[in-house]
Amino acid sequence: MYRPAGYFSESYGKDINLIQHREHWILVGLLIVFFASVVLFAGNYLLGIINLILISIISILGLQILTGFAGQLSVGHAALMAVGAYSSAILSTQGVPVPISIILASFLTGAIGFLIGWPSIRIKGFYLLMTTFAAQIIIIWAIKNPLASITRGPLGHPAPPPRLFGYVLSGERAWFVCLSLILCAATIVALNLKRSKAGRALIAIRDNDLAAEVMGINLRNYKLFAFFVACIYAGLAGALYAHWQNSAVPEGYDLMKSIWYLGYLVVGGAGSIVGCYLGTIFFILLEEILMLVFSYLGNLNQSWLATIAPLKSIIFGGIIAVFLIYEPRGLASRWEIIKSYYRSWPFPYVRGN
Amino acid sequence: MKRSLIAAVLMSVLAIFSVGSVGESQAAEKELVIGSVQDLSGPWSSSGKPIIAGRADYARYVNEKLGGVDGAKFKVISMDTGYNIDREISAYKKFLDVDRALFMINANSAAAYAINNMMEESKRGMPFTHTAEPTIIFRGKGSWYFGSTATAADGTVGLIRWWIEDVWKKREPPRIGLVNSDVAPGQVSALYAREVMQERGIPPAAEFLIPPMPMDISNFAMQMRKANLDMVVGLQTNAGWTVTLRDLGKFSVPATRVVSCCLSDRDIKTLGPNAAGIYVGFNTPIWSDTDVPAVKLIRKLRAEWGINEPADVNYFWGWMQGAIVCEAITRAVKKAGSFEKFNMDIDKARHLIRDVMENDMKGFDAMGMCRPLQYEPNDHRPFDASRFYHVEPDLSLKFIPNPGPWPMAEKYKNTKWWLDAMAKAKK
Repeated sequence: MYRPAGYFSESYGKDINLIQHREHWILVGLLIVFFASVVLFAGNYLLGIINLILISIISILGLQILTGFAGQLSVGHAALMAVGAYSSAILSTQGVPVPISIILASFLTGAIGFLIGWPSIRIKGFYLLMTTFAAQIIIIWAIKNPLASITRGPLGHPAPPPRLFGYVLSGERAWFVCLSLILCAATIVALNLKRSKAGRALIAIRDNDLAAEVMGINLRNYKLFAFFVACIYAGLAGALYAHWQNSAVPEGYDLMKSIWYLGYLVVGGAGSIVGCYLGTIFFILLEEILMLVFSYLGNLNQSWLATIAPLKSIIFGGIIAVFLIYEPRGLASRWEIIKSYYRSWPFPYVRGN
Repeated sequence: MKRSLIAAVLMSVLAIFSVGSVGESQAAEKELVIGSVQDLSGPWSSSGKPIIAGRADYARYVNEKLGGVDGAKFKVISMDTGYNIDREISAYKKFLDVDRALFMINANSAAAYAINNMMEESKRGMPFTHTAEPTIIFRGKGSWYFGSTATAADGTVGLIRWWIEDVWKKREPPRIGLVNSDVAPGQVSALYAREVMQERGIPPAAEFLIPPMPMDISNFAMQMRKANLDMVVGLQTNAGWTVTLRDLGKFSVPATRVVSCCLSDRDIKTLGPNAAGIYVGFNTPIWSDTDVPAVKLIRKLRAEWGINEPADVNYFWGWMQGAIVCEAITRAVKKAGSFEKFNMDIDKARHLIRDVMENDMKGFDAMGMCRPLQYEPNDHRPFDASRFYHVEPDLSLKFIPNPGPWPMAEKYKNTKWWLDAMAKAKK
């Protein structure tokens, strides 16, 4: 690992600090400047996009723990968000304060995830993918059909905004502050988890589960732990998403969303926390920018609109394909290259890998 | 590298400043902005493309032929969100804060429900309408939502009722199969159809929820054949109907096929001989209904604009929405006294349009394009009716006269499903 010249860790405590040297503090400072700029100057539309990114990152952090760290593939993440969303929406309309309902919903989703993760004890890879696919279908079907008397089925369920210390959390700016703090906490938990005994055990399972087992790692417990933690993240993101939109509707958590979430992870970089941020920002901004560009072009001449609209999907897919060809290790890898360049500047020839 | 890093940070901050300032900017002089969202890609795109063209063409007609409104011209900002709820909500926020739109026409039922809730919660919104309203009809007080077409459920049930009473005419109950899309409009149609059939003592003989973008549903078609159905009815995406109807034809399922909405001219051409014999319900008159003043006008305008091909059946749906929205804005400007007074405060202008929609639009029928509107405060349904057509062997559409005005709205109100939902909404 590269560090600026002259920096030495003199104790274990210093070695595991998340913020270790001046450059880290500069980054934190820039983040605070960015945060303040957004709060002070961004319009509601931009804030809305940023808030969607923040919620998505919380969800992707969970998927990163499950897939990136533990190597357990899942295409049921959106359905687990739906569990969190509906649980919190229902609890909050039954009189439970929204912050408490969000916490309860997160842990309830964790418990559901525990059940969904049970097959992972016996199966892995493509077969596990199929069980999570089944979970995605069954959960959404259950919300729409047998549980319709509770969830209101296709009609959607209202989700009131949270009330914190007598203040109703309404409006994009207030949500941005709240979501930033939650994401900050979620990121710190994920970063620390990665460096903990459990995190290292998960990475060992991902790299070679047989070797991990031989080394004494309890595969069953750690795999279920990964599902449990990942689903808490999914439930938290789903609940926040529902209260942010004031409603929980089944179509917000469809199979395509689960698949795209895996895409966010791959493009961002599997196994990297920074990758969760970069992949999510890349995808959501790309989608939004393409929507705006095509809307602008189409509105120059209405007759173009219908003709060029399908091109949007082609360009979107094309950009991702090209990206994966030239940067298969994800955006996080690019970020590492930039960092190593910066650390060795102005002597790039010592950059090494 | 250091310099580029600093430059990148500065650019990011500048970008935030600029977007923030866009949010505060005024709409261009003498413009009345309408936000228009529809699926131009994805499973509904075959309907979406002509719908969005119809909306824009009505605005063009007012601008070019009627001189706009007090010197101001309509500007329709169209967006394709590809049936993605996140993109649609994002578009709503853009229309509300960046484009300063006066009215929004949206596409996705689930997004419409979320948008409605967000507007009510924030106490700030703009009037909006939707292609079909199944998920937000239970809105309670203070809604910004106005229906502009018969609901998807109305279409399905209207067709079932018409078919049982006017076509079936046998003593034994028919075996009806419900084939709906597994998204909100389809599911609500199924919900309502089940209840109305139950009232008549006819349980569904088979029921299917089809994915919005089916790859192959031959298995469903085989099951429908086994169920020995007399009629297949439902609401699906264009992609869904095209595959379902093709497979029903391919497996020679003898049931009468009734499509409640979402079939375009292009779909009919794609289906070819498999389309012949289908009964279709649309929300508006179509190209061949030359006795309707609006259709006459559209034919004349398209000839003037050099558009030679007949307008798609869904174009008229968009035209009707455009007509309702533009008319409400026009009346609101007149009510304000002048465009300048109307344009002074965007939020007041939006409230004025909502007031006009609730109180001053009664009887407006868009030159015969819809049934006369019946908006009232807190009851924003248009009460329009489906029109039925039969696809002839040459794939032309033949109008089937309705047995009379559909009493669906009243009937709708008295079903258990409706009453329960209204009671929940009031809570």
